[in-house]
Amino acid sequence: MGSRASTLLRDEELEEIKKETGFSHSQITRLYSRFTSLDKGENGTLRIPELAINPLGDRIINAFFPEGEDQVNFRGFMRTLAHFRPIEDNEKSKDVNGPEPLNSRSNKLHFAFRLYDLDKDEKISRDELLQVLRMMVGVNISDEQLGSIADRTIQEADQDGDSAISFTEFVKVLEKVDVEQKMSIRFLH
Amino acid sequence: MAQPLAFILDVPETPGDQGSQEPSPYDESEVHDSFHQLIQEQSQWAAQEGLELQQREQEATGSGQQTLRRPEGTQSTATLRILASMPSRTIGRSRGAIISQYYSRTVQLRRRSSRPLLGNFVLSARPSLRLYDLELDPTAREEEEKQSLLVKELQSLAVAQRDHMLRGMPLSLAEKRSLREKSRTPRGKWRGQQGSGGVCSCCGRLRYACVLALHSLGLALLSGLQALTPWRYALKRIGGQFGSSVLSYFLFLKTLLAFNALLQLLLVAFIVGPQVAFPPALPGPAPICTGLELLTGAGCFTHTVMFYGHYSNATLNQPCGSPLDGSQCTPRAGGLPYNMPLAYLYTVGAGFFITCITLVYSMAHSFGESYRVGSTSGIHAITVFCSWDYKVTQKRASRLQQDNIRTRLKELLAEWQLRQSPRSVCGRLRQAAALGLAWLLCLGTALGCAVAIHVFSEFLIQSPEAAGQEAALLVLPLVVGLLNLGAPYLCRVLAALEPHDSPVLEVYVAICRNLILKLAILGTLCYHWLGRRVAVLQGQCWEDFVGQELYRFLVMDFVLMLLDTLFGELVWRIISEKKLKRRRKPEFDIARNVLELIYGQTLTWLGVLFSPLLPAVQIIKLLLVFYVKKTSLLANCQAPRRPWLASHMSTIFLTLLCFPAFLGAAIFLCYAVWQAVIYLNIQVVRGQRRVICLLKEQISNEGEDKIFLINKLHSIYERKEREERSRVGTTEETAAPPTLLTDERDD
Repeated sequence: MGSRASTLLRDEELEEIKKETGFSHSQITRLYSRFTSLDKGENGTLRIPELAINPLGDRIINAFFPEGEDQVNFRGFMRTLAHFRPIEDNEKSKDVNGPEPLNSRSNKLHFAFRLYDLDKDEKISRDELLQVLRMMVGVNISDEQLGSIADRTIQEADQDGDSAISFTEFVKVLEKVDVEQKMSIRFLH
Repeated sequence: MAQPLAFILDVPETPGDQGSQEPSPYDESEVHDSFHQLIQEQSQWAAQEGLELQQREQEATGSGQQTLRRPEGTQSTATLRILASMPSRTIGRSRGAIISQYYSRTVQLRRRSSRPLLGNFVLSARPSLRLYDLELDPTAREEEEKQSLLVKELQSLAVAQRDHMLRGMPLSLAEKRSLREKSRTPRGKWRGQQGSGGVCSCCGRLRYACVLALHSLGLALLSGLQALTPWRYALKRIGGQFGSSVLSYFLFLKTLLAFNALLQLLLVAFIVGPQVAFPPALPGPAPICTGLELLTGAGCFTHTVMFYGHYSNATLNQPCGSPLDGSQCTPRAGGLPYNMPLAYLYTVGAGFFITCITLVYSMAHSFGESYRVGSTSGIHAITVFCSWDYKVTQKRASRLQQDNIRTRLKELLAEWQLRQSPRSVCGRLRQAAALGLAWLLCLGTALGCAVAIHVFSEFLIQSPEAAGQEAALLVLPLVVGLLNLGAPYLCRVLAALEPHDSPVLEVYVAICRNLILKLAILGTLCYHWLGRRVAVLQGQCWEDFVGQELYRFLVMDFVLMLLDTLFGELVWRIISEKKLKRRRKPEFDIARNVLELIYGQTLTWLGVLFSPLLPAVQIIKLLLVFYVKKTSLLANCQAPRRPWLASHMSTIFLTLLCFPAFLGAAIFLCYAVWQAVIYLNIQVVRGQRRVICLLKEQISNEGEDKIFLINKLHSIYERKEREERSRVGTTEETAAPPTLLTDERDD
């Protein structure tokens, strides 16, 4: 173990992650230790009461795993968590030429978009919306009512007439919502 | 989604070989022993919860990268584990974790000003542990040692930073205090970052303590205020289960309570209080209290502060007490004269004025709010995508939220669907005809009720033998109450026959019809009291009578409402379930109930002048009504079949309260005041005029008498003169001294 440990998180990797995600050094090390402590081998499914209550919790967990894969490495883990980093003031004046930081409003919205877009085709179709709605409102509502709500939502948001919500339409609909505040987690330094 | 997650330093322990090379930060053998304890605690907890956190075997996994495995199945268990072990879920379970968190926090704070480059660090230890002498002693450290390290860290900070950090720690208060104590005393160990001397730090500490105290006081007040809002959970439940339309009724009830409480406070402070402090002498022995006066308000309630007649019409608490049998005036101590009649009038006037202003303000406020809600475009999408709160962890809160979102979505949908449905011309004509007919019938009902009440009240006035018994006083309120109850049901039946597309319009029409009915009834009653009763009760205290009448009406209204709730909803539900075998429970009739509330409030306002404690009766009644209606609603009613967004309901209710109800009550009271105050003046003036007439007559009579006397005298003298002349004529042969005649004539 000892010899291999030094390859676990090298400084270059740390720097890369730092550049990519914007987390600070200590935050990354802390998250790494959390990450490693949680991987204890295969145990089958877990039962977590709090998440059971939250109907959309599964979607968030799914969002950690990149497409088609069953595993997530530390980089991917950090990349997902970076979406929830609050937007700090000193970042807004950073270089405009560089790549957009992961916790920008657009990227946060994209993360949220991917929560609803189950098949990852960059469009929220009626069926996907129905599934989300069903999770949210429980059982005391009829299917046709749910269908009408989904239809109405798509009607409101859809601008190019393809009966699905694309990412730009999604952004347009949520332009009045304070996404930066709603989708931020305060990571301790 | 904005849940603050605290990530803790958590290093798994491995049985390690103490390699010859420098230990890297992530060398598993370089573990601080406090975390050994932490991991054990966590493992135990995890084992209890059914998780299996095994010690990580640092065998070669082949790849140099860390991976999290995702087993077959729908759930990604590993990431679930991540989330389950997150500190926000585990905080409180292991103190070692907490304290280690603050280790790293203190380190960060200290290094905040100058963050060293990565390259400068020796790769020998984890950043947060580099500054300590690591002992590779595998024995577990005691908690005091952990604490001492923490204390050392805290001491190296400036005072403000240290306090700030201590404030943020989620430790118990005792621990924080002990930490603060320990870190405060050894001043010699402070390095660097020391500002001024001890006095300034004392001041700073004091200021800090003050700010802290104020802050915590403010927070406590805020949370206390929020907890004080009555019926918060009940209202949420009703709103979630039945929709915003039914909720608007209960919110209106709450508003009425506030109005009554305000008015009653004013009256008690300025009228009832002073009168209770200086009770007048009772006219006779107080009648014995039977149970009936709770209903009638007469009997032993008559000569109490409940009614107008009891209040003295003189100045209270005069500095000079009334002198008995002409003796010297004995000055009373602390005498502030309180002119009762003036105070009475002014207080009632001020109460009405304040109520008016408050009503208009709430109306405007509610109007503004109702136009803000639901006006954003894309409200459907925003509700679907942004309304779920990911912070809920309790099952009950989660269920409530599901209910609320579901109801809101249904309402939004219904509102939108309404705008979409087309109407044909033929259908419209038919609808208009049915509407016209129903309106005619309802208006006829209202008129009929008014006429019936008028006739019955006249009959009661004409029959004096019934007036002697106390229970006979309840007849009119009973009759009016029954009519009040029956006519809206009739209107409701008529409304069921006519087709309506939108449930909003249905409710508005029902409200209008009920309003007309109530206005007709109240108008008749007002005429009966002020027009006829006052005339009949000449010489007695008619204000008392009117006050008692209003009290009776209020109480009878409440009793009948209770019976109606019991029978109207409960029995109907039983019948419809058992006999008619319908699965649908009755719906809550908003229009009828709201108009009942407005009717009761109008009665209260009508009677405030005559019975200053009437708002208190109304408050008790409203409290009981809330609980009765809520219980009945939850047990017997179902949500409206067609949900609709009641954004304007509150505004409409308040408008109805202000314009017909409050205005009418104000006019009635002005008239009553005019009657009571000015009528007296007119009587006085009439008396004076009569006296003047009499005097005039007397003067004219005396004038005539004078003329008569003068004429009489004149005639007497003339006769005498003639007699004298005739005597003088017979003695003309004898010369008569003409002087006699002239002398007489000169007289």
